[in-house]
Amino acid sequence: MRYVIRTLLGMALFAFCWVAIGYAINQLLQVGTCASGGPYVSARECPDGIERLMFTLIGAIFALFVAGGIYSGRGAPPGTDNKPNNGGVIVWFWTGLFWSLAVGCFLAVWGPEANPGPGGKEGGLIVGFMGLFMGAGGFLGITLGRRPNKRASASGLDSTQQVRPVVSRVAATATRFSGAAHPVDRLDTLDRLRRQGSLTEAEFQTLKSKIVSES
Amino acid sequence: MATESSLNPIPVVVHVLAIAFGVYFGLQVMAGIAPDLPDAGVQPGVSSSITPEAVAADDPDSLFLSQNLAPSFSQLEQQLPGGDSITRLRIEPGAVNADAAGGADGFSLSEVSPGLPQLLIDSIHAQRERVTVADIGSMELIATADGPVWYVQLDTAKTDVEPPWTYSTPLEGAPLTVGAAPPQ
Repeated sequence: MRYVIRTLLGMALFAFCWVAIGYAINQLLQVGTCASGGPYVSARECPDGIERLMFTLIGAIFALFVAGGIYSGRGAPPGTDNKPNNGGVIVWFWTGLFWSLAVGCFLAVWGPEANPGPGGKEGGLIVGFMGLFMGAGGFLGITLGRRPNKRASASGLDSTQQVRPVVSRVAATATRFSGAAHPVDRLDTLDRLRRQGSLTEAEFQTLKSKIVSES
Repeated sequence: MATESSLNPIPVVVHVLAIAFGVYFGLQVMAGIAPDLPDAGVQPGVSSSITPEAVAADDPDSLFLSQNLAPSFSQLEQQLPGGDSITRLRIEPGAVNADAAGGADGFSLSEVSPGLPQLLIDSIHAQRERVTVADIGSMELIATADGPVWYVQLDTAKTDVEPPWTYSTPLEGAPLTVGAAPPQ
């Protein structure tokens, strides 16, 4: 239940923020440069509600952190003890943020109802391409991070170990070469890795039994 | 590799539902708070809060006076897109309007001294005593191949002085030349 609730809340908030960011930047580009206040009447007066757009844009970026926090703590899906891959949070957060900016900008410049205000076209293209490449960085980073590692395969690591974070792989190596260490030290190390989240409870219990039986 | 969704449809269904709900709710909320967009074709400009045509050149509110022109410039600056330059700046007693375009062919507002229109009027008055601020109709600063040039136009409907009714001068305000008409 925890998984379903936190995933629903976290992902829905992610998606809400993507839409809010893209929509807000799109509208700001359609407004273009404008002036508000002052002793004279501006020809390009900022429309009522522009402050709400600015607030929404900034607020949605901060809300992505909240979404990431909710989503990261979702735990294992019902009926399984598979550890969720929180590397995906980087894609939802980083790539989602920059690609939603890019989509909003490109729609403002090239979309079916595009009518960018003064300065909107140039600004939209600059921010759009910047968002496209910045977001691709996060996407490629997580995608390349999942690719099977040939060196790891040659060393006999299984596929689960190949995609583990660096800390987890270091822990696995340390465990393999820790025969000379004192069993108490090895148990301490295991306990630390479990608390860090690098080892699941099941993995911890298995390795603990192994150390106890060896000693 | 055992993943979150291996042989288990729940993660996929939950993610799809959540994204669909988030997108739908986001669109609803944003459509509710989006402002009415202004006309993108309107050029930057400012005008007096009273009817601009009603402001006379010798009014205390006239934009020919530096103390009124300076704040109007800062309001105008906010409306100019970054990277655009001004090709034509038209100052009337009740309004200031700018034609802006991309590229470096024009001039920036920071190059224009808000005190210069008043100095030009004083210069004209020094040459022709009968011409006062009340006789001035408009001033335009226009980007030309030789740099920005000021053109001063007397109000032919109001003034009772004899021609010439136009003057021109470079951006710095000197020398003042009699009789040059602004390019269209």
